Amino acid sequence: MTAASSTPEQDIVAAIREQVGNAVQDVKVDRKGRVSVVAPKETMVEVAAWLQRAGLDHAITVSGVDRPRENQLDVVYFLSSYCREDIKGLVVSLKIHLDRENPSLPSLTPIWESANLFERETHEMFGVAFEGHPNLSRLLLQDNWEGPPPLRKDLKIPELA
Amino acid sequence: MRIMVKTDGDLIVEATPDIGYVHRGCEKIAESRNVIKNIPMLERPNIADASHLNWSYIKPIEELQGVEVPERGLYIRTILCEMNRIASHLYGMAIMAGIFSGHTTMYMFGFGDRELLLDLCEMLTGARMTFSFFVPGGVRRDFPRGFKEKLLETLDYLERHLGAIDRILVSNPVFVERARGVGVLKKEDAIRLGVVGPVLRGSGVRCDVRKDAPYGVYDRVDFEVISFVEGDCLSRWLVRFEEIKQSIRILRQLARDVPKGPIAKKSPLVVPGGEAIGRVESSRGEINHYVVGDGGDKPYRVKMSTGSFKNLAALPFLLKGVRIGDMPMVYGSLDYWPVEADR
Amino acid sequence: MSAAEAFFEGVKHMFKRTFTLKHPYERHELPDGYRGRHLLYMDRCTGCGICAWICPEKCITIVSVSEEKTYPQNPQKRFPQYWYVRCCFCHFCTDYCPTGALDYTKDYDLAEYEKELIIWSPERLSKVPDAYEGYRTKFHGWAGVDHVPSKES
Repeated sequence: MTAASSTPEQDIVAAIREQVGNAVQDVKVDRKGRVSVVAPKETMVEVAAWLQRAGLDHAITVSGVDRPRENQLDVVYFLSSYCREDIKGLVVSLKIHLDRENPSLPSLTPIWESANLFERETHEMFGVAFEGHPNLSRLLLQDNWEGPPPLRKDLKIPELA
Repeated sequence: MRIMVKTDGDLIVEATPDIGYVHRGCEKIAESRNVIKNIPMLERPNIADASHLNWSYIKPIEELQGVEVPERGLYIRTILCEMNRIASHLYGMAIMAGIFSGHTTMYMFGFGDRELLLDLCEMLTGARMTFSFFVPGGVRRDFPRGFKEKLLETLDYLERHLGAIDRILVSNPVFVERARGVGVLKKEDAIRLGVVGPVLRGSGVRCDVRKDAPYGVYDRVDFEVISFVEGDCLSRWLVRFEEIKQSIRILRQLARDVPKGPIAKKSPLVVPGGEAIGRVESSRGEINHYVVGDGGDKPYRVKMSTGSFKNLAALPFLLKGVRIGDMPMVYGSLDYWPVEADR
Repeated sequence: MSAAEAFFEGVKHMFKRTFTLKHPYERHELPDGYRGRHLLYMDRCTGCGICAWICPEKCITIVSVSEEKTYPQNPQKRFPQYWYVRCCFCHFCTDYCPTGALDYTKDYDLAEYEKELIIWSPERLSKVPDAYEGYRTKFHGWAGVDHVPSKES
């Protein structure tokens, strides 16, 4: 497929462009050991399934980033591999841009079960709804918490006096 | 944490952990403090193994700033992290394999040997547990006089005393009977649940960030990644015990090869725009810090993901079908640190 | 191996040396640069306030001192005051001070019975703590490890 002198990061980027290129918005090599993929909400399940078949079987973390200035809320999945020796050291990030008013996206727990607890935490801290998640109950906050989702920029904590 | 358990006689049918009792909001507070002020706060989620949390936070910030740490600084960082790994494994074996199964002698042996390592850390950094020793660009202090001799003397004593720990715990037939065959995690389940650290290596998967994506000077030292295939509690404890021996081997090589030179490079007090992720192998698993910067002196978003949180998925799975009396052994073999999971 | 051999391993410690120190009569010897409470050199401090800015827990406030002695480098006599309840002993203040007016000490027994006494004024911070005789560890081969007085070795 590619010449022997290319790096694993470039191999993955080339394979993504070739096989699911019309389902992603952007794919590039960030720096050594990091590949970033941006996909829209509609095709993210297809891209995720392709990445899982390509050998990325470990979702190491899932995070949300609140950007009120661009009126966006990003959800980022970080993926790595347990078994494939050539891509064990890479981290591939899959980012989805969402609307800040009512963020919701399909859950990727059926593909990577290790993302279960992280999606639950992101739902609690940012208010993102994951459709199809088996159990979206309270994880870290106390039972009588009634404010807005804590990690959004709307909630300001008082400064230490 | 609380574990809510449904039993059928003596066997557990379903177990649900309830965490969040020590949640302090570290990620939210980190957005309102600048880069340096975050260091003591973000290393306190795991006081027994604080230098790994520190390094995993500093690594993405250095990547964004484009600062390269000098060689001597990397050697000092790796030495402190390996000493911390031995101290943390001794703590885990003392409390989780010791107290949780009623073995008080192991508690005394583990904590007594850990005191010698904490004395070494105190000589290097000034503090016993939460060091706040790594800053962007390098480390804060150089080796004091007499450090290398004391380190080698302590390592000689530790190697002899590990034989005593082997005789009272790892080869002790009473402990082996309690731990063998209990809480088996097969290789496919370990990969599916996404566990990390000694829990993963005790199930036959040979993964370690120090070998897969080397950082510091781990690509220049010679060590092995230990793994056992049985997947029960005994193999998880054996992984930790053998890792102490490998850490002693790494420390001897590092103490011999430290180069001369500066220990730190100047770095600006800003987090430039962009995002980066840091990966570090701590004693309980892989730690990731995802840092997003916007050009100011405070990070825009810090996401911490620790080994204990990733291993939590294995607890309800392992407790099914286990007797109530074996629950402390299964919970202890995961070496779960609640504050690190809740942040 | 039998359980009796494992038991005997613990019994062997009856004949080895003991590691325990009778604190507070025998104290562990602390290394130089140990992070205890702070020592303020009042003839070097200029009252710039960098220590108060860098402190992660905001435990330092700059206050005016009302004594007759004047300080040429600090005409307004403004010095730091520490609230030790909040201090996490990271000593970023000591490392960031541009004139080197703060220093490390080996004093760590800071508990008090009254709340007001936990706020240390600049004059109290400038007193040098008392020295004490310490004990350090010594390895004895098969007999184990114990503590011996520092001045003996």
